[in-house]
Amino acid sequence: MIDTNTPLLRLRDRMSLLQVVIAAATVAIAGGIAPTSLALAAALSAWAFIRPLPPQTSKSTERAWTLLVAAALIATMARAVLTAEILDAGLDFLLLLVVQRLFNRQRAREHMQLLLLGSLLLVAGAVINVGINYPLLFAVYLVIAAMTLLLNHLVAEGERLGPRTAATLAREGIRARGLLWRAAGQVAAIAAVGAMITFVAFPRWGVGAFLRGGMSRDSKSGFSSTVELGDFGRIKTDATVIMRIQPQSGSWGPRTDWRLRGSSFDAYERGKWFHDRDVEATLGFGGPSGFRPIGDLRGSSQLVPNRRALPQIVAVPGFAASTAALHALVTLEDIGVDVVFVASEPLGVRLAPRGPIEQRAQMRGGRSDEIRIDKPPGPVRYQFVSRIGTPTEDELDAVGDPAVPDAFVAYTREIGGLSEEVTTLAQSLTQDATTRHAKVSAVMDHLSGFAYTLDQPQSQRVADGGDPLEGFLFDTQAGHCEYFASAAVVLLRQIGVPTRLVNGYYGAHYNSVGEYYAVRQADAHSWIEVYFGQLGWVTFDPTPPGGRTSGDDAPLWPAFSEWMDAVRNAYLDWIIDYDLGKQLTLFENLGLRDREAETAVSRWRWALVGIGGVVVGAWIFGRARRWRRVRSRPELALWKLIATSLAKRGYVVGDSESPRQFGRRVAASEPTIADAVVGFMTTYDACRFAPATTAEDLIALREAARTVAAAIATVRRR
Amino acid sequence: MAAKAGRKRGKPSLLRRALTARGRSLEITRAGWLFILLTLAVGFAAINSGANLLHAIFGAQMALIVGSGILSESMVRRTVARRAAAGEIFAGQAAAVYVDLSNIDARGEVFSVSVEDDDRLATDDACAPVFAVRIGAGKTVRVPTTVVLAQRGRHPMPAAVVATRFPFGLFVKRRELARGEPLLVYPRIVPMPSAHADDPRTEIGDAPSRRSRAGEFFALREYRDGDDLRRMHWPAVARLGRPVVRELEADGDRQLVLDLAPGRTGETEFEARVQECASLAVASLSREGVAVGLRYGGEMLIAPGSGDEQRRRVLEALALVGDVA
Repeated sequence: MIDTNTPLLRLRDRMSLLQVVIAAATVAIAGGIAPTSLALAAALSAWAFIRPLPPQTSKSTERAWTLLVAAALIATMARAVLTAEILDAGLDFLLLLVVQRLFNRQRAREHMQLLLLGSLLLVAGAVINVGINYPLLFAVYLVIAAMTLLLNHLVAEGERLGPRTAATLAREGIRARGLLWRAAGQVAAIAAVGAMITFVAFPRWGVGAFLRGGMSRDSKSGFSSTVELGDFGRIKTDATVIMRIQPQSGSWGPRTDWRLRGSSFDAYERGKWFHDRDVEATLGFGGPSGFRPIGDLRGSSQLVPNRRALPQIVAVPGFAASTAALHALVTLEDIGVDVVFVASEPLGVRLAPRGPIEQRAQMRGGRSDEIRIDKPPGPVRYQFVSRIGTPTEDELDAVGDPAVPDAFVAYTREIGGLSEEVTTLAQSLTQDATTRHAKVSAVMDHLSGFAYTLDQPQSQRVADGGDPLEGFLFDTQAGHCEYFASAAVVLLRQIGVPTRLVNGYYGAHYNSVGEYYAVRQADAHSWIEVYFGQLGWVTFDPTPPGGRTSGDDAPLWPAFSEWMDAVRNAYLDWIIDYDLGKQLTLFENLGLRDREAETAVSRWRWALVGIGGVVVGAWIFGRARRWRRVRSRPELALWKLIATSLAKRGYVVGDSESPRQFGRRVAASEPTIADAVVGFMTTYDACRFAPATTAEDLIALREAARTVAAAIATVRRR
Repeated sequence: MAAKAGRKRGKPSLLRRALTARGRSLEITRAGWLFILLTLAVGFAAINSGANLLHAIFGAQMALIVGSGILSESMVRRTVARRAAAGEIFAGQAAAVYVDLSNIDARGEVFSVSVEDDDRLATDDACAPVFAVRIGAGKTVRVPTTVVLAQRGRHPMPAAVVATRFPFGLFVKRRELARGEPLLVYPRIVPMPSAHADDPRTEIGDAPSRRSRAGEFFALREYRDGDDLRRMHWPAVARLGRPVVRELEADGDRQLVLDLAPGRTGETEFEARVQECASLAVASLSREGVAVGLRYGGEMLIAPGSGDEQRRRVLEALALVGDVA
């Protein structure tokens, strides 16, 4: 077996493995590697590392590995072509190569290949990992990789120069590991500085983070075009911030009650919500200040232009709070769905792209006043205007039971596939209600007696194939917001009240560090909207108040979570999404760019600077080629340096003058530096003409040179 | 690692010549090429994709290359190497030398440096490379090695460089060393057939002369370096004003004067004769009671004598003998 017991080789082995683990972690954390692939690779790598390493791989083993890699390569290409999972396939193949190399890592060359594979994984991580963990892992990787390179270099020298040198290297190398760690740290620091300078200053000509986001394997349930009843509740414990809202008007407290509607459904069947094909998708064009008006049947736009560039809301007669508005700028993370979230009741929306990638997004109207977006992977930013005021009970009563326009007839259709029991219940609840509001209130009152729980109990009826809503209404009478809202819609539909289900987010939490309102996944919620004629679609929430919000108990340490989210947001904004615009802004802030001074002449100036730089560079290159090879000994170089310094002050060495004679002459003229000069000349003579000059002699000569150079600096030119 | 004489070196590549200036040269290893290719690929991907973290990785890789250059330069700059012979050097035969590697920096250490022959120069001389793992600040390490110098005479050691692949093995940085003092290379010594060595009258050239009556006073002659001071003839010294010694009859039974016909240095036949002379002289002087002298071109170059000093004198003379073209 190969002697891997030398401490140097063991340390090199460990570092080699560690760097590839860190690199793989940058990819795995971003979800770029399937769990099964990761587990398999980890298990095989551990086995490869633990087992005794043979001194040399046998021919048969080499052939087997070659065949395996070739087969994997073909499978990878086929997978990439057939499934379009190019990155996933490529990463799995890289993992296989890592495992193969770990099994056969006898020589320095093979460890170098491991380093190369690690760096490829790191590059892949840079593309898909947008988390703040990446720069931390990158910093650690730099140090570990530098140390691995250092150790591998020493081992490679031993392989190159023979066993005796290898043994010496193993001994001395491990003794000097403290110095090697320090050197690795210094190199990593240099690399980190280089990384930061290149990151900040390198011009951004590309199209942006085209692969940012969109890699999540979890599609967020509840916002697709169809929703299974019950899926929505699963995300209530996820504290991931998915939206950051910056209000552009009004002042708001630390916690808001905005209802940010995302998807809205009008048809239900056997546990599934979807869109009735009779409901049209609407999203207008040509609204004030570029806002696109969201479907309105009241005959006139609800938005009017405003000199402040934020459109105002038209007041609605009989609706006192109709002008209460929320203008907000939203940064929505890529959560794998094409829904845009706006507060109820949305009146207008427009994109606010930050760069060329986001400019490619296109909003389109979805059914039931949804707003969908076609965009490349990554976040998106937009603005919306919403009416957030709600009519009073008196105002709702005042409208009575308004007629339902033809366009909204679909919202009044009875839900099919349910038992008569549901209709009977709805009728019994509302038999005394004369207004639409009274009907809604009756249903809400009935549901308020139900229990809120995320652990959805299942009744025997449902186990036997019955509708889950019926199980909720008649058996368990317990469930989460989705069940409450769905039950309310179903009950109201059975009595002809135009109602629709809405999935979205309720409330937002102010992040004082980042100065924005954060909306977490755990804030997901379901409610209903009922059509009240002139008052529009009015929001009602049948879920008990205790179940509407996840509360601030979703993160374990709210303050720390706020800080982390603000840091992450800044990281996303200034690192991941750093573009040419931000670069120029940064340069302006640093005083490196004066926008006002950028006239046409200035632009020509930069061109001339560039041309001048090329010319100077060519001149230097030409001079460098004519430089003669200098083979001066160190003592001669020092002597020339001192002689040149003295010549600048008028003391030139004579043709036949020895250094000592010259030194005495200078000392006679300059008594203040006499000792230093004579001391240097004496030391120089000793070094220059001694039988053998030792390192100590050269060090002493250097010190003497420093002393005399400092003394010469005080001498005036003659 | 033993030096192998007669190794021809090729002309360095265009890239290597382009990366040579002021006594420094840079060579990119295979791993270095891979690293550079990876760096360029990452840079290309960063520019085209706009993925910001790729810019950071690209910058880090470029900085690693620069850092590697800075570290390797500091290693070769701090290292001073002097090579010296540890004993006699015979042409074409491996001779012991030592290399003193000194770290002239008072604070920093030197890692992983070697002293190697400059492979850009074609020469038949070769010195085995030496490697120092670590040289402390201001310290010197002495590393033994061997050298093979092809021709007799005064020659400097082969042109050498201080080289390092530190820190990562991506590049090889070399710094030329100043040529040291020339060394005296004795003619090659080959084993002589016993008939040659045993025959005390064997000469190369004309009739021998022989001194008999061993131990008796023979003549006065000039003092030569290495002579026994007890043979100094003080009255003659006082009279003549210069050191003279008593020359006694040969201590041994035999006396051998090697007569070497003149020739031109480098000519094959002449060199063969010189080699034979030297071999015979060494073989004879290694025996008890044999005095060896050297005549060249009819002139007695080295009077017969014995002992280590005589051996040295004869070999020195044979190392330098010959007309230079």
